[in-house]
Amino acid sequence: MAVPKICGIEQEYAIALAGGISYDPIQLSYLVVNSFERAAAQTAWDYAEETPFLDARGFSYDDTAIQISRNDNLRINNLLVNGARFYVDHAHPEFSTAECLSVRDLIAFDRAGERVLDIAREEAAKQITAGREILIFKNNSDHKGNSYGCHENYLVSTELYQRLFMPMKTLNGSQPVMGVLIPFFVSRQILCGAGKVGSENGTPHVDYQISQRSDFFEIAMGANTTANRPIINTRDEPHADKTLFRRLHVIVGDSNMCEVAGLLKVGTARLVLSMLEDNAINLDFALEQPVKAMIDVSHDISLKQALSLEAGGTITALQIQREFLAAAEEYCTKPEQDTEENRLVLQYWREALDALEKEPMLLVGKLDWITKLHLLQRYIKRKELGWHHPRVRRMDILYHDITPDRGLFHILEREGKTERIIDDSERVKYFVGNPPDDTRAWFRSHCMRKFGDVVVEANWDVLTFSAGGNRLQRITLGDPSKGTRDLLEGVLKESDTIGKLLANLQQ
Amino acid sequence: MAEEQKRKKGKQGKEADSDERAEDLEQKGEELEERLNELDDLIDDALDEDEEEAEEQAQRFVDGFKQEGGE
Repeated sequence: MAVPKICGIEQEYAIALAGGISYDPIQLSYLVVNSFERAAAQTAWDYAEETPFLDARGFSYDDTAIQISRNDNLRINNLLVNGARFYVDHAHPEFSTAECLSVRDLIAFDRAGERVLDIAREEAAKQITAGREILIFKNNSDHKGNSYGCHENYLVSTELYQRLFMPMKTLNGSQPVMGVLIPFFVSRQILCGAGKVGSENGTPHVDYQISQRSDFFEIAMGANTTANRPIINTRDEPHADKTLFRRLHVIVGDSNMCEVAGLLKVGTARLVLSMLEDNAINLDFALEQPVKAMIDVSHDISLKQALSLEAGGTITALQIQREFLAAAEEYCTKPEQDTEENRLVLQYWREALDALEKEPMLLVGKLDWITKLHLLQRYIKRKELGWHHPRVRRMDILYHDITPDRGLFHILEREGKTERIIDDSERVKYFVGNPPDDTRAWFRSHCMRKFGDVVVEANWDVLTFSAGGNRLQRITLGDPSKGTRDLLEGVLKESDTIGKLLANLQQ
Repeated sequence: MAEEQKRKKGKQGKEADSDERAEDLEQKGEELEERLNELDDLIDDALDEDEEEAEEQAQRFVDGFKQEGGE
């Protein structure tokens, strides 16, 4: 049976000063990241657990350990009480959610990230010249050829990971990466693209396209993320016990404002990975030119683009998604997969594909690329502008402004024109200051609250404590589904000191 | 012969269902369009544009929105 599909999102936010004032984005990002309350003042990020150059296919590009002073480490990284990591990555503030077991919790946590950024933005503004305003956007492109990511992480079994990336293992003649994952991600953008005016990175001219990111993918597979971006990222950095688990690091998706689009992005990917793990998928849509297909799908808002298959013949992105949906519907008839959450994902998946085929307008407020397209088309018509007019380009960017009273998406939401999948908006507020109860994030967060003064370093799966003098002790959290409130709340309550905690954990 | 008729009937039934669903979707789309018309003023307020200077302001905003690549 498939391992629990614990998942997370890493969002790099765009940052700017209002009024076109020039600024240093790195310094501004430091200011924002350090303007939000820390879980523990002296807990640094543990870079020893990072292996960004290790490739899933069994080699390494570089084995140089990341060297960073403790002061810089503390300045770059802010580990939050909700179990998230808020930090400066390149020249962006980045929010990595805590590990979530439920897709709805992940969407709520991702939205909590927007609030964290907005609170930090307001606090940071008090420290800059009066009258200047910091702007933050949840998008993926500056429309000038620069992209920044929204990465997804999925817990998979080591067995599946090896099956995906070892070239000798095949499924129906194609590697499952080529036959299943690439066509799935190439076609998934019709559900979760964030929409963009124009094209970038030397791709053909279009007025409007489905995805913010697709212009930037240049190879099918690879470990890099900043150049030669791959559709499938092979970075082998498990953040868990690697004998049992791996993390599939997905870099091909867009940032979503619409909750339904976010649910579909993560919910459909989780189902496909579970099906692969359970050998319950019998599809092979290996594409003749995956990178070209990625761009072609994004550039065709009519969704009619035919994609050439390696085995001969053609197929559209919609048809590929229909096939994946049918396989998932069959898979979810199994009692263990027939869950309320899977039913919700299947329902939205079916409705979205039906509407994309017949009446895309119905997806306004549900899918970002359709919502933005609708807003821009109306505006262009009313103001008699062309697609590439600066007013239209500005509007494209403002759709993603995270400020509730200014961002265009947020205005639609306030007016009830978007569909919410989080029943209780209190859940978003809750995740600003609390971790999910049902993953190891609970233990990591509560350890930092209780013993923050002696937690020297932390990473997703390791906590390092000062045990007096120069002695350090580590707690490893190799299974992301352990360390939950149910399992460890009692242990933590009974432990007044770190020594007692370590002793109680060993029992 | 009977099977052929049954198959034809089934096909016609499916087509009728599909036509019904298409009509339903179309109607829902028109209703939604009407509701979205109400948003124009709100969007205009949020954009806060002075028509005379809107192009210049927008150009300044777009030019100033320069990010470094990330990931």
